Amino acid sequence: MTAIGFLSFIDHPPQGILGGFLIVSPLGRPLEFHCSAPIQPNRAQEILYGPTLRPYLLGDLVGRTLVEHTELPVEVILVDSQEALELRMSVDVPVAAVFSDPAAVFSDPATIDLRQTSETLHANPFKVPDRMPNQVKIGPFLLVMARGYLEDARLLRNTLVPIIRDVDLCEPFERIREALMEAQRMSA
Amino acid sequence: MEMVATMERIHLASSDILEVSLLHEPPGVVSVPIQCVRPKVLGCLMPEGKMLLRSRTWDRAAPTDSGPSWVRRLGVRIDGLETGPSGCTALTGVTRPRSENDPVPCLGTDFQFPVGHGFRKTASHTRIRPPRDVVKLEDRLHYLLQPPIESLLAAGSLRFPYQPFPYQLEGVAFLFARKEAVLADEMGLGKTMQAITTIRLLVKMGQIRRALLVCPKPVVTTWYREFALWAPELPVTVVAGGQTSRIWHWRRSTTGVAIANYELIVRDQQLLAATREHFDLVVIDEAQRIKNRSSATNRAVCSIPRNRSWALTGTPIENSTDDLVGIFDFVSRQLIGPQMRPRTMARAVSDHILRRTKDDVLADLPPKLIRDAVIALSPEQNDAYQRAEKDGIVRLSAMGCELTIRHVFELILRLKQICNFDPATGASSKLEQLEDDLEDCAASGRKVIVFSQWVQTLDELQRRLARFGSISYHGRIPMRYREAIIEKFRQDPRCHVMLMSYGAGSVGLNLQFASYVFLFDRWWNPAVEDQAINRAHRIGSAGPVTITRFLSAGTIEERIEQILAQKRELFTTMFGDCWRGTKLGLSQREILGLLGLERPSDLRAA
Repeated sequence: MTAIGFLSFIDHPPQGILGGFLIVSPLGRPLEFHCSAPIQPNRAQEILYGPTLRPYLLGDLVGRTLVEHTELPVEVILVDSQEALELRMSVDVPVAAVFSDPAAVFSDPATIDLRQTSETLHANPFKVPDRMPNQVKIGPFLLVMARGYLEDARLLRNTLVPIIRDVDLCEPFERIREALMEAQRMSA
Repeated sequence: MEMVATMERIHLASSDILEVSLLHEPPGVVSVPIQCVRPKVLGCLMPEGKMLLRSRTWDRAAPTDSGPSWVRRLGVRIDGLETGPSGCTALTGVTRPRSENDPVPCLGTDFQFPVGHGFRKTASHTRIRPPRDVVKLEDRLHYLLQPPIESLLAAGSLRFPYQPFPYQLEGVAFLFARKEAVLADEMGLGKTMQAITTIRLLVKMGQIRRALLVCPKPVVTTWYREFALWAPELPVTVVAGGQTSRIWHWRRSTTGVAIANYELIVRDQQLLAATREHFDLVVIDEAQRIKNRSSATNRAVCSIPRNRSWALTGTPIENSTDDLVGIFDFVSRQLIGPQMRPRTMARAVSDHILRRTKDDVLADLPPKLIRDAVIALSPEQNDAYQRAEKDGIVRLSAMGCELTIRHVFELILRLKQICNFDPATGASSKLEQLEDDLEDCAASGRKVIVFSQWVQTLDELQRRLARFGSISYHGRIPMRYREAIIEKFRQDPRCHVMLMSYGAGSVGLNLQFASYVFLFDRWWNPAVEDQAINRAHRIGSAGPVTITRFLSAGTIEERIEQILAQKRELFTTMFGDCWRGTKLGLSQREILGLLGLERPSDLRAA
């Protein structure tokens, strides 16, 4: 059975960042869920990692830990921020950031290179998928992949196109965020 | 963006489907509100670009619009749907899936939730929330991580006769998550649909297999029909017949939904209690039936072995908070007790009760216009009334210690009957007024319901209102004829008036094709009156519903109304509108006060 992993995070100052990893069936039913305790980078990490700190925290530290703890294998992992794409270096399945609105890609803080390279694309976001090699449009969603993994676009299509009518690729992130807030509320 | 109608002229009814072509092909089913020049949600865009209308009310107002055709001015706007720069094209046609003459608001085609909800701004997600008494984080997350109700319904490929309202999906999410729940929506908001849809969903997900629905006898067929409409795939059985077949049913039936009336449950209490397999779910409709904790009905219903208990009622409290205690004997025993203060009780049950009023949720439900017609008695009635009151009070005063509350009631009822008709001559100023009103209603082809608490009054009205094609529906009409009477009222264009008793006609019937309701005399409890009114004023109502409450000036009727109005005001102050229609009975002192009597120190209870 195709299982899809959804990874999301919430910032909960002053405790830090919490992550949640939800695996769902093609019908959107939850199969497995893991969430992390909040983490807060120390001063040394902030200095050493600089602008790459957040991708490191989301993708490598929290994301990888959560994925490694799951029992069910997943075909793809979807995240709701490009800052978490660094996870791809730690797993052997495609990782992609999902956007329901193409214009939202440009408001994502991690879209620096896109902003710099394509003013014309910004003017017409509907054309983005055709021109950017690390992006793929599946149904109404725009998926941004980690660079350097040429096979990922094909794998994502193979996995998601057959089920795109059954799963809203953005909705599970809402569930994760609510679950994380509940977990935080219960532990407070 | 704007969409302009291209047809010369159309008359729209709720059964119409407008075919809408979109330049930008919708990815699957689009569910977007469509608004016309009047800010009113008309319907939803259906698969293949068809628009399903919710209401037929707007076609009535439309011809008054100026211009060659109101349709030209429709200016339908689609909000929240992304389209290309050219936007949408036009309305391209209108189809009528059912007969144009069919007065029943027909909602046309099936509705299926769009799978995926990948429609960005138009998607709505009704989330399942964990009940408050679920305390373990793991269990709470189990609820929160479920897909939204819309996705569950879509995943189950469940079809609906029309798209449920968002508040109805919230009701489904509420019931879905709870083993102990009271759905206390105001009458007419679709408690039936919400319960059936949740049952359907739970069956589909394998969480329940065997359910029992208990309801008043007159609405058993209504429930059966509603199940056929909202959950056609569910096996539904009406439990009836001889003892042998009932024993077989209770012992052997292990799947599907059984419908039984309260009287049968009382009769089969031992059989039910002895069944080895618990019901996965027991739903009681009109749950106020078990409000009396010492009643056989309460005991019988509470003894049904079950895993989930849901109660449906529009009036969780009719007279006092004890009513709620009676209902919670079934839903969650010992959660509340009779000695609790109202505010403590409200806090204790708050997570188990979902109560919405029409004002809360149905912005586009046709208005309910209530007018009190205060009518002077005719001279004959006035003479009879004054004589009866004077003699009666003298007689009651002379009874001393023998006086019981029943004696007082008898006099009050006698006076109320005179307010309807003079016993000697049959004169009735209320009837004269009613006849005048009915002339107008009949001339415009409207349907009218007239309520009275007395069958005798209804019989007299039927005799004198025969020219309006009046028919009666009350407790003395055998059950087997009642369905046919409703159908005749619904279908026969010459039949304008339905004469109903509060007892038989106030519960469970869907008469939304009626535009006028007359309360010929008043019930003691406005909650019952509300139930009666809401037979006509409910989802699917064809237009505004006008309610006329007759009151005889300077009589006992006016005095009762004054007391009840004061109580309503007090209760609204304490509990807000959600507790409308509660605590409205009269105390002994108040009943005596109606006639200016003092309470004897040793007044007997009757």
